[in-house]
Amino acid sequence: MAEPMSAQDRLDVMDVLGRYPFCLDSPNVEGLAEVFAPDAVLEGIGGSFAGLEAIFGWAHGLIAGGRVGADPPQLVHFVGLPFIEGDAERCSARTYSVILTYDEAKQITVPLVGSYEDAFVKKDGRWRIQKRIIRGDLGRAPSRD
Amino acid sequence: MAEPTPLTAQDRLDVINLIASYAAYLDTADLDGYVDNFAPGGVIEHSAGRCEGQAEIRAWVGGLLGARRPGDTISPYRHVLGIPLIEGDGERCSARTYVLIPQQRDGELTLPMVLTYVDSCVKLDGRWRFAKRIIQPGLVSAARRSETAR
Repeated sequence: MAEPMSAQDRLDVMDVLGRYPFCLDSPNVEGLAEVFAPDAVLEGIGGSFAGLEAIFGWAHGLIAGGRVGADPPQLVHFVGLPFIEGDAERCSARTYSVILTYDEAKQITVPLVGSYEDAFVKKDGRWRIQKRIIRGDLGRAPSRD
Repeated sequence: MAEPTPLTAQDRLDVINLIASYAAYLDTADLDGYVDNFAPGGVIEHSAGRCEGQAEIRAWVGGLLGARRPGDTISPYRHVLGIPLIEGDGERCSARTYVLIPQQRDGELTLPMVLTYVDSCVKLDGRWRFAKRIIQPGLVSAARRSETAR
């Protein structure tokens, strides 16, 4: 039976969750290797992506849309406080995400409030997401133009 | 030279609390608490310039807090923080944190700014403080841009 989850484990999981938005928004796609396990699965609003290379491709696709990762910033992934349950080897996390961008009048708007449902695994002492399901809870994903 | 100790869970929690207290002090106009979060030679870089040392930081933030409109009994802003990304060791670390800054004016609630705090933190006498905070622009509404340009 696995050991209980320590404070260090929880902080490490929070660190992974906190790294994800900066990887997309900065952008630093290769930094997602510190977020997802090599064989991770991402089920997003636009489909399912298995393995790091496919997840990199998904992120590059978002960035190619022109808003995600733009300089100056056009869109921000704001992540709330996660609810984490599990042990020292595996855990789940549920986290709200607020997508912020500009409307046509250049005012900040919230097109989407979503949630991440994550399954985490610790391999070689490092926590990574094994599976992420991205749900759109309120609103809709912003267009890519 | 001795290797620095690793960043412990306690260190991370202390840094998270430092970042959270910055927002709390600002929103409650606690100028002493705000200034005391910075190391004696601490630096803030913001869109309008740079402050170095606690005296300059006090003067700048004191000016911001004094700039409320007549009738404002509490700050019209709130600083709502995301999850900080913290990296470093037991003596120095960096942190990046998103902040949403909603504003209430004349009964209307708007979101004029989404910024990033980019911090360098240092542990002095067992206590984490900001050595440097860069307030990095993120999303800034057109209304806010025209307000600050005036």
